[in-house]
Amino acid sequence: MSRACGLEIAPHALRLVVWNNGDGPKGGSLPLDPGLAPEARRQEALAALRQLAGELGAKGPVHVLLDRGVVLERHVHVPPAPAAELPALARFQAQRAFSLPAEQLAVVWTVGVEEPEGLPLRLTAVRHVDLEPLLELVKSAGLKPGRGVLPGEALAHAARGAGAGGPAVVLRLDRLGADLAALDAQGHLSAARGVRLKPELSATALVGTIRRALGALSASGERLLVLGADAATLPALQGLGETEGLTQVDAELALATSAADPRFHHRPELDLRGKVEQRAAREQKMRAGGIVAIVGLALLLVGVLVQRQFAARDGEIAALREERESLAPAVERAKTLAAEIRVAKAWSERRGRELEVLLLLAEALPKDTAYLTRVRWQDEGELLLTGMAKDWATVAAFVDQLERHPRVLGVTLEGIRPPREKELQGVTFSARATLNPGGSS
Amino acid sequence: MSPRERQLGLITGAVVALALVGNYVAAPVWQAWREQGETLRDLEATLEGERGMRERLRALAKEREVWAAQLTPPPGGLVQELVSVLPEESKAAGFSPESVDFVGSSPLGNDPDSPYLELRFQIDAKVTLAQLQTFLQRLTRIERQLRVDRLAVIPPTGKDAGKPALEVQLSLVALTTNERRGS
Repeated sequence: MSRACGLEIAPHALRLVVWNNGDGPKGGSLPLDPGLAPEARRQEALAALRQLAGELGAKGPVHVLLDRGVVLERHVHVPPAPAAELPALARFQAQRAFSLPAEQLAVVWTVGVEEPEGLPLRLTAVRHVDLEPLLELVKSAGLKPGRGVLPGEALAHAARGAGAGGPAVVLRLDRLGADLAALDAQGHLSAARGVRLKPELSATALVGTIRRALGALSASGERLLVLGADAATLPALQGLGETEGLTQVDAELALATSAADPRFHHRPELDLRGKVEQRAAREQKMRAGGIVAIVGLALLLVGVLVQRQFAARDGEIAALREERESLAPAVERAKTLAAEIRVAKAWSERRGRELEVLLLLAEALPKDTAYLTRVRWQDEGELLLTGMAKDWATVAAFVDQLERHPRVLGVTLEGIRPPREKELQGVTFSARATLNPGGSS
Repeated sequence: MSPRERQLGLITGAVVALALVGNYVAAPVWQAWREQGETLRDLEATLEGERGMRERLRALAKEREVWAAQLTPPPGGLVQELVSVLPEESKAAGFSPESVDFVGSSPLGNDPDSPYLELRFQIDAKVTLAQLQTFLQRLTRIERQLRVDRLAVIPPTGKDAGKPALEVQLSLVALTTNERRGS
């Protein structure tokens, strides 16, 4: 079920009407203090809107009546042109008529019946910046923004709803303002105007103000249909011409009710929701652009830092290589000297090994039961031994002792047998010992 | 394009961009960084060792001079000196060698570029075990770099059989500087 809402923020009151398709309009009004500072007034209006929205169950899009002061209206004549060219013509004329860039304006235009001067074009414009506060207010109240509504069109719609036909001028009187809408013979809006009224204005002054407004509308002498005039004011207005009270319409909520009416022809040019989406898209684009810029900047920074680190290390490597080159002759010389000294030392450490061999033989040879008959030794080679022993056990003990010596890696007993000379006793033996080339240590 | 499609497109684009950047930018940069780091570390380690070598150069040169003093042949030649020294040493050990022969010389390790030369001598003698020991001990005390390379002790044969003397063949090697090095 659609629940379109109409919102009117008058200087002294905030009015909200919720239109339930099934039940029709239901509205309410809360007073505002016209003397408050702008921010305090905004807070007050916001609180009132929240309260009314809660009480009335407002959920649908909120169509907001534009303040009389922000609506600009001009009437121009243009040369007759095909319908397809009229939008561009209207935008061009609006730019000229309002002296503002077209992109800053939301322009609504209507074409009248061709006259001798050309096609009459009624241009109504609102600056986008003037729509912003309304948008913010609706959003802050947690409601969906709908469209901006021109007061003249809302008033004409209310008059038509009350059965009024043209030509006539519809006047809606409020405490601090009045709206006028001129209807042509078909009941279409031909011109609109809003005027501010001073508080506690006398009937005579009110009539004078209305007369001037009618003059500006070029609608003097038309039938005047009045909404919201009390019993004291209506007779005073009789002086302006034929006057008729539209009593079947609730004058206070008339404009808000028109705005909420599903039959009301809303202007797409005044789409507040579109503004929201445009702004969201713009903000998203800006956010994305910002993120991309930050990421790009961060990457650039990282790249520069990494490049500097690479360059610093390259410099370090070049310096080390240069130092190495300068050290090369000294290092080469030192290596050569070290190698020569090492060789000489290793050679020298081999001195006296023959004494070690003789000593180990003397230690291993059993006392009085064996002796050697031949010894052959070569440095870093083998030790060949032949000898005589009392018996086999003595030879085994000799070999065993030899093998225990750390200088000896292994002993091979090559032969053991009785001596050839029959007068000799015991056994002859021959052995081969492998020595540790590194010495005993 | 719906917001969901736009979102999916953005996510896909971000993933693809991330993969491309990772593969073609981040990975090569990381590889280059690691290689550069390894080069730097290797160079630093090598240089640390080389700086140490340079600092040791003076000490090494001094040590090499000490060795050179021992290894440089005397004006008359090392062969002449040893051919006269060895009989004196054997005499001091209580025997006279049957022969003291200079066998030949060769670069150490048969390497023509070796800074050292080995001179080989052969000594044949008939000695007692005690004389042999004394002689060998005396050899270790000679200032020149001289050592026994081969030793053969053979029992007396023929008319000497039964005598306490041993037949000894000694092969000696002396180390000296190679003045023909590299030539």
